[in-house]
Amino acid sequence: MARKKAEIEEVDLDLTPMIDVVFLLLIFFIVTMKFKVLEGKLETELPKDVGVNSSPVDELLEKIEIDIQPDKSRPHGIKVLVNGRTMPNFETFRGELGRWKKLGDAAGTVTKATLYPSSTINYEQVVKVVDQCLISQLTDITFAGVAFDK
Amino acid sequence: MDMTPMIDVVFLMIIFFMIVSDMSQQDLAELELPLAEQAVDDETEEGRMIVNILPDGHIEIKQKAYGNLDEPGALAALRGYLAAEVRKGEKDPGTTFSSRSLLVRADKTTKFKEVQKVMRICGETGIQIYKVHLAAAQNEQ
Repeated sequence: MARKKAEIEEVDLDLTPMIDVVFLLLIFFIVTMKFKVLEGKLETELPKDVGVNSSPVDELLEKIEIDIQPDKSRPHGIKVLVNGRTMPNFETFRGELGRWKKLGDAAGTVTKATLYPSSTINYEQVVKVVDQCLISQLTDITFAGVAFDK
Repeated sequence: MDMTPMIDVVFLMIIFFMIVSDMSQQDLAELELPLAEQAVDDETEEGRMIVNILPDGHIEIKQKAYGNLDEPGALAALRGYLAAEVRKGEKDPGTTFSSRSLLVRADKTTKFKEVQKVMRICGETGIQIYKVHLAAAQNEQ
């Protein structure tokens, strides 16, 4: 008997399910992806003058009170007052902060700024003021408290 | 039809998207941050908490809505969350202050009084987080 020729069987690889899954993965990543945004932070700290571990009160303390009030006629829509004096612009504001800081440094005291934002002031406006303080090397900044609405 | 080049391209695209999509950003709500010249690079610290405050004053943490802080339920929920997180971390040596930091991310149009409310909770006994950083957008170099 003639020996049967070994037949070479051709195997078809079905790629359809794999392509389906791969496309689903691709769509998932395209839909959910967010590009990394250029995000930073202002390294502020809250005062440690509450509770049992209160920080010692600095006897020699140069206090600056900064009021932030809404005023649409001014840049950034705010009026800034330093110890009750209205600042015509941010340049004068920085100058005033620098003057207080120099006075404090010369006297060996801590210069501390407390921000009093009006209730209608928004986050951006406060960040602008904090930014100006940091540009003026004034890093000791605190915020006035706020009551919870009943 | 030869599918090999298409499969190659599709795999390359998947690898690209897997690399560029940053899963750590899941904690960051979609907000428009204000620009600050003095903003420093935000390097992720271990155990750092993030509180997002939406323009309408609603709080969002890890994609979970906590409601507005004027609602007593939201206030208690935020207090509970922060207290639980603080308990997991360490304290500054010799103090009751938490060594963990909190990043407050608020939209540029959010009223600052909402941020102050979060700060107030941070100062409460049992929480005492003093490293409260304000998120801001950086200038493009």
